Amino acid sequence: MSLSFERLQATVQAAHGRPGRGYWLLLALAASLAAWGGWAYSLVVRNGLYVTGLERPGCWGNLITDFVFWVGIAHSGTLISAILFLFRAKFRTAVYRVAEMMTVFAVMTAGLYPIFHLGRPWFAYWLFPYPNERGIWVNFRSPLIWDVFAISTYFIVSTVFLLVGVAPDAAALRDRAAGWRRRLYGILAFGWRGTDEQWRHYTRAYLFFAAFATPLVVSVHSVVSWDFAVSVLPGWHSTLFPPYFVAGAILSGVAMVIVILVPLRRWLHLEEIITPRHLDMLSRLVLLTSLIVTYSYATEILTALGEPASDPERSTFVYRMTGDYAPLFWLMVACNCVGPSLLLAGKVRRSVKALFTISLLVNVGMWLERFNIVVTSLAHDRDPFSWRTYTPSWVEWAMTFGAFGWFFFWFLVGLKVLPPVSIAEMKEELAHEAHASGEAAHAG
Amino acid sequence: MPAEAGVLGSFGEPSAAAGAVRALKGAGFADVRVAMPAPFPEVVLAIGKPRSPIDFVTFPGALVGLLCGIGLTVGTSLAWPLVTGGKPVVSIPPFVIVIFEMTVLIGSLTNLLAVSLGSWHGGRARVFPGQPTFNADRIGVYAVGGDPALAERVLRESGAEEVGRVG
Amino acid sequence: MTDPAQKPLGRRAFLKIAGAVGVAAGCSPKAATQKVIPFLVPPDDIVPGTPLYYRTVCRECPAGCGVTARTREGRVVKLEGNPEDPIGGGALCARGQAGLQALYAPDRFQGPLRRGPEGRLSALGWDEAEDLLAKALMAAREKGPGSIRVLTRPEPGSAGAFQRAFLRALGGRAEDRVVLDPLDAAPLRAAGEALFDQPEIPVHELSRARSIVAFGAEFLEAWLSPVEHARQLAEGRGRVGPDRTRLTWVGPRLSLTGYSADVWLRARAGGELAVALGLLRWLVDPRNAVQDLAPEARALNSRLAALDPSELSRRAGLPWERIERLGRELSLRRPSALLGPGVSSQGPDATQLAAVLRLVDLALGNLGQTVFYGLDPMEDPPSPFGQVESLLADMAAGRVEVLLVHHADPAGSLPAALRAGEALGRVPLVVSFGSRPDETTRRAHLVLPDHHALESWGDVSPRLGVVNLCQPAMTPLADTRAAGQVLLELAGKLPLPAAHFPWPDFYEYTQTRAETYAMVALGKFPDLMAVQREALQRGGYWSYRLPPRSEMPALVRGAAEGFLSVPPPAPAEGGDLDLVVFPGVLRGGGGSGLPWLEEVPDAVSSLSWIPWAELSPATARRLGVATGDRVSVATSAGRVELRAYVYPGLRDDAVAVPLGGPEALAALPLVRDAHSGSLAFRSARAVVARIGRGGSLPILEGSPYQHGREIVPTVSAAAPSVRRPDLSHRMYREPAHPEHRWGMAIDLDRCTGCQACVVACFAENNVPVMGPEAASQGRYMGWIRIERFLGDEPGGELEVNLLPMLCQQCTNAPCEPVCPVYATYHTAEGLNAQVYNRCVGTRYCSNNCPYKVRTFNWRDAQFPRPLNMQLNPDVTVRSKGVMEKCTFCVQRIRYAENQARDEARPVRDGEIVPACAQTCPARAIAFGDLADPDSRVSRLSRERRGFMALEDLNTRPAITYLARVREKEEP
Repeated sequence: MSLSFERLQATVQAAHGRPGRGYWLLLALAASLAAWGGWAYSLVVRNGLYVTGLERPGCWGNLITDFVFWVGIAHSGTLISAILFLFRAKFRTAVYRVAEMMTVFAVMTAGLYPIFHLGRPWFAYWLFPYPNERGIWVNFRSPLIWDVFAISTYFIVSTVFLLVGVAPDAAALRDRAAGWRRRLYGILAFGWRGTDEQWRHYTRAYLFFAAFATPLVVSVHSVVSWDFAVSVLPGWHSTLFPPYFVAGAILSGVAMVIVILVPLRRWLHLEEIITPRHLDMLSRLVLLTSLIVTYSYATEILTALGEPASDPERSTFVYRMTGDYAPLFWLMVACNCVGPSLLLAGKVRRSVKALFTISLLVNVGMWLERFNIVVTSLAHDRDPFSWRTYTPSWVEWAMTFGAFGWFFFWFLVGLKVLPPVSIAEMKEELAHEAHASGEAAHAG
Repeated sequence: MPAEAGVLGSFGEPSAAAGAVRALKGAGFADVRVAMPAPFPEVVLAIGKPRSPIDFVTFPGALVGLLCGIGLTVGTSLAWPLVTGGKPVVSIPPFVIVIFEMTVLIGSLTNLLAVSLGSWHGGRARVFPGQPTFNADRIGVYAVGGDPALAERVLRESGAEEVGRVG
Repeated sequence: MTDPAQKPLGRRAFLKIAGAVGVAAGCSPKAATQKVIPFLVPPDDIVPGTPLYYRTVCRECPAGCGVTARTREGRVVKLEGNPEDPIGGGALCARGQAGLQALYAPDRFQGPLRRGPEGRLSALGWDEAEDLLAKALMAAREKGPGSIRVLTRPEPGSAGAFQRAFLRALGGRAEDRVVLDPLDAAPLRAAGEALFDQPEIPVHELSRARSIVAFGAEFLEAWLSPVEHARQLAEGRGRVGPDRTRLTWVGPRLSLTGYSADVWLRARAGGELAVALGLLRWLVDPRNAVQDLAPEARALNSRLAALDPSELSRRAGLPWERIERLGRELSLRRPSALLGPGVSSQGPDATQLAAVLRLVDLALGNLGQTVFYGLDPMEDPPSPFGQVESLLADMAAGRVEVLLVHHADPAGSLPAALRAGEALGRVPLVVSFGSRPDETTRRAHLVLPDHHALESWGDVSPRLGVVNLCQPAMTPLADTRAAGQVLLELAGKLPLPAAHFPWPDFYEYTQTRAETYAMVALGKFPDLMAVQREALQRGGYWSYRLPPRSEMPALVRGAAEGFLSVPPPAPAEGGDLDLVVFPGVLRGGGGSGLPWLEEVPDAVSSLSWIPWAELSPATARRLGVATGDRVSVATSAGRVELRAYVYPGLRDDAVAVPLGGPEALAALPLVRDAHSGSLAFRSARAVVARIGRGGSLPILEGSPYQHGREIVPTVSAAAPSVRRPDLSHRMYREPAHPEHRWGMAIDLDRCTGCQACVVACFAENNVPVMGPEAASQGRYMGWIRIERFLGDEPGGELEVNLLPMLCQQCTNAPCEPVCPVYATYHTAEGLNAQVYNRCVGTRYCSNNCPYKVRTFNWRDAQFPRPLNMQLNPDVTVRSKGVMEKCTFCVQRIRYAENQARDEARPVRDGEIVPACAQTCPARAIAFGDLADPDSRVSRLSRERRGFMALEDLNTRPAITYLARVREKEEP
């Protein structure tokens, strides 16, 4: 390939050009979706959760599903940028910036839902340990507190990681930008000059960030899975959950990356930077995690079916597959297991359309997976007398879709501000390729 | 502060820049500084600086995080001991999770602090000419002190595209 | 003293701020605080914060149980039984508990009302109202006898006596006063008269019975004296082996009473009589050689031998062996008690059924053992139904000028076929003393609201030798007046010889009557003041004793023969299903409209707020009906729309509809008992058709089956102890309970599922009523629920097991560790505390509770005025967004602990009684200290029948259930 530093930077900066009508339309759409969700939530604050479809035993529903879903989405970013960095997987370079932006905004979204679903959200800050007049601290035995720590840590660390990665690019852009952008990049560049001394510390520090972030990624979704796994509820209480949830998170996250990248590279003309090869690599990742997830489903179900008919565990899984929510279960299987398995065929992997569709469906499927776990288990607990099915009210749906509005609003804004591709690392990579092919990198 | 007097050459090719650095060192220039858009390994190698010492800041930072985590969990549990679920007041396994998160959090924040300080200090200790910048596509090699003429020649020979005196 | 200026907050500054704050507070929009104690000069006996108790009597049904009313700051906040009262024995049923809400009902009339020309009721003054009525009475009096009529509920006491006196003074005849009890057990009276020349309702002593057979008599729900019956039955329960009381339920529908039965004889509707006749026939049949039968019974053999067993068993809808087996059991297990007919078996042959049952009693020598005559006070018994009908006829014919209605609702509690509403419409002046709107006050021209029983003086004698006194427990809430007082004042306004009524007010009248009671009770002329004061403090005059056998009446010669023939089969037209109407334990005969009774789900269907139609699974399948569908039930009398409930406890040839509300009454054709002429509730045939889907249903149960999980194990003589998991392995050390470890034991062999505990809990703990919409959304807030399991798997064998489910106060409570803010934790006294103001409402605790006993405040609780006056000041009213649950009535625990501390003594065993345990008629709930090995609860929890709910989870609950004893065959 022949792509000079010049063209690279030009392409990246082109993404920051004056936004067209399409962009504004999308932004408006996202904003109004978010506003709709926000208004729905104001009903909850005013009238209590009575306006939702929640009941006993179904005390958790859409909102918790949304929380887990968005935490899952948040995983791809750090996975791609940190873990693949440690594994020296070259293909990450072109795509990790988008993934990281996604991570930060997804955590921003996920973090809202545990607060939204509280009975008394105005006391949400009681979940943080701080010396208070009540003289009482938080209960560190509660998985919800682990959540508070995991999610906030994850948010801070991934934001730092993103900004640190942006700094050199910001410097590069700063030198050519003018007006508010110049000022903004001046700040983001953090006084970056690119001297050997700075690079010396930077490269080392970046390694550490990656080293910190990697276990964090794994821990965060494990913690989220413990929200369920440490309970006594059949269908929740399972040692399989942490790996199962992490794999699921990566599956949904990478799928989301693809869903976003495919239109993005078209729209921002990044085809040269984000090549079919990159997409192919991501789709392999989808395939792999989908296989893990499929295996987890199978393990859960088979172990449950091994129990006698009177066993609540078994009963819950039979209920999932044949009960009130069975259609959702089978739709989930189709989206998360059957769909990705098509990616075994190289032809499918290389067809952008197919890849896009499959990834989109995977996201639907992963939302359904969380819904299935949260709702069916609650609806079918140990005491049959208290069984009851849960149906979300329109308020919960509004908040669920509002989340997408909120997420894409920030993402669209981010696209226009942050470089969607890591210029510096691309340059490094290009230089090497050039070196390999003995051709002057900048002879364009 | 203004950069000390020296000669600045700009290169388009990492290998060339690396060559220049080596050549300058060979010519007895003790203080050769480079600015580049990306950490091209060959250049870094040529400069031959030891690995960054921020390890010694980050690791202690992480340790502090660990201790904070232990202090927070155990301390607050003992401050008002409440029995829940028939489990011990200080129940280690769940606490480990919080302790881990604290370690990562404080560890990476220290890391951030360390890198900012490091590069800031680096910027002061080894000043690089402000103009032109080398964040886009060129690599700047800056020979400080010594005989400017010699520096110019070496840079040209190493294939510098532009060479200029500073200060 | 340092210079205040140097201090950060000097005195002046402080005063400034304080003043500012004061002003700010004054400006706050909140309503001005009301005075806590509603009187100017507080009397000595009212100490804020300490309860004050008054003994009075419950008027929710004719049983007349004694009541202890707990008042706080001058308001009644809770009703409890009067432990000294021989009827209720300290317990109250669900309806008794809810009587409180009639007192605070928001729709109570605030004062006298008159219907204007435009048809709306408008307020007027008492004097005006009385003058108006006096004039009308004078005018009507001129029209001769019968033009002034009184329609009243049974008033066995001063009120009734005064009504009679008043009417007499007006020149009225005795029959001008009609006493209406829609569920009157007249057939019992008729049978007593025919057989023994005793027109009485017999009294039962079930604790002596070794076997009880209920022929459709809902004696634990609404029949005669349910609280008393439940207590007596329970005395024979809670033990394994032959001396445990056996109960057999005979009828087409397994009612809540039937749930306590060991055997259900699925007789078809109307087949009860055939069963009874068959039973008597088998007993007196010499071939069966039944020992010591009463000779007069043996004499009946000639007549009974004529009855063809196959015919009987066909009529009964049962194989003959079942009847034989019952006969064998009764011949061996003596004494026994045969109860019936109840509402659901009160058909055209009700008196005959009653008579045959008495004859069986006679044959087995139960008279004077478990069944007693001579205890009916004959104080204001309900009029024969014929009188009610003739009154309605006179009204319809315009022969009635003035009708005084006293707590009776002919239009709302009698079958629509009687057209009582229209009859009322034809009366020029209908005067109602009712205190709340009902079908009758809707048609009344003058409403003179009576006091609630808790505001008025009076007396009730439900039984010979029992006079329960009624005294005000609080000042009247509204501008109401005791009905007796109104009559007294009317008498003053009427030009009658004053000699009739020498009393200044109605209170004096009750006192003069009380004197006679006192003299009866003491047998001599005592210092009345002292005696009366004591009686008021204790709650009544009691000289109640069961008469010996010798005092039992003898069978009237030749009286029996008339009852021994099989009546012609009921006509089959009208439909393919037998219509079974039954009284509910909550709604009794008529819909009360009291929030608690509407909100609490029916124990059988777990439905609340709505009436329903029960269909057997097979019938439902045949009609293509599923639970929740809208169905029409059509009889010759009319067609009603109801929601369907598919219930295996019903014969395939029947449809069951609960009494209470207009539906059942609209479907009831006008059929009378051939002998007593009383209303026959059972006779109609019905056609049921599906109308369509019904949307969400206000139902509590998820699945009524145990799905093989053995949630409610049972024991038997063969296997007298429950198999329990081995939980000896401990991962952590047991939390310390240094002083107490509060625990509970619930005996499922005694529990009848009467729901009294549930309503008591609502009353004691300010549990909010959420309404029908919430009920269908699963937002029911009750802290206890009666879980009712019908068997193991759908379609399997019907085996009903009840499980009162409340917070188990676990030692290893799963709800606790998941709460992020310590809103729930394990206290040193073993309680699973819920700290409302710490709760942020994550609801994880509820998810993690395997018993699902935590309820969440989905919205702010609503207590429409003046219902808020009933709120227990010792218990917080929870705000929206917080979790709540059973606290073991922690306020009562603290109260007892503080009292013990004041008296420098340890808390006595049995001193702490939670609301549910207090009101339980069957005494099935025991509460106490598990840390004390000798406490009652500790002893019970060590019993072999003991088990814990979902024990294998190792949550280690503080509640031990004692398994129900189930003997298919008699041991």
